[in-house]
Amino acid sequence: MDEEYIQTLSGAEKISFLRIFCRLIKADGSIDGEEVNFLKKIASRYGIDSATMVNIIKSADKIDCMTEARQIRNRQHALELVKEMCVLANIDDDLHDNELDIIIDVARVMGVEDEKVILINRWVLDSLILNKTGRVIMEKDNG
Amino acid sequence: MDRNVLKRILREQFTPFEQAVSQKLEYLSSDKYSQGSESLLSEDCIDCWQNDNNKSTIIEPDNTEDKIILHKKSLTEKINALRGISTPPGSYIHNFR
Repeated sequence: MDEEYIQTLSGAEKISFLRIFCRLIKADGSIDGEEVNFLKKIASRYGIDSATMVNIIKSADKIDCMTEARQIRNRQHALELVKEMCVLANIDDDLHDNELDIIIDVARVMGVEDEKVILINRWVLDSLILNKTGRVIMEKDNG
Repeated sequence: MDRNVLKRILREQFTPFEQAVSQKLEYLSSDKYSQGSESLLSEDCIDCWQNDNNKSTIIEPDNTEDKIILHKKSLTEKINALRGISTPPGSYIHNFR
């Protein structure tokens, strides 16, 4: 998926994004391997060092997503955050009620319309399915 | 929008990946997807001489160094090729110098 937006994020925004991701990962009470991989990859792409990442993960239970979301004032960044949250929520092949609550709350605080969230989520799901289908066709894994 | 309605919509969009991937693979290799494609044959191709059931259309690109005769095969055959399943005689692309 398009990651050009990363270059436009400020350092503070990247930290806010990662804090929200960590909070989202812990929302369903279990941490899936796919979620951990997503977190590792995105932290690397954001240029965040391991020590900072470990501190964020350790304090995940205390993270207030609404406070973090209020730091995101750029519309494009807000849409990208919703997109990444939808990826994270769906990537473990399970969708928990708490995850949906966080996505909705964060989106609404940032002024992203409910209809837009629905569209983004649908697009993310289609992309994930298409990507997994491609991996099966190309014999990279069992899907 | 009511919060519970939004949650219901988001939840209804979700399909377990195994099921969704299986459906997508089935669709990609189905006759419906490949409908309309024709098997074409080159009159210069030895392999194609062996198959009299195919009609031929030769498309020559602007590049004259390699005379490439493109054979349009059904999408099903292309997918089978990707999966390592043998296809009927006749190559997908021939190079004639």
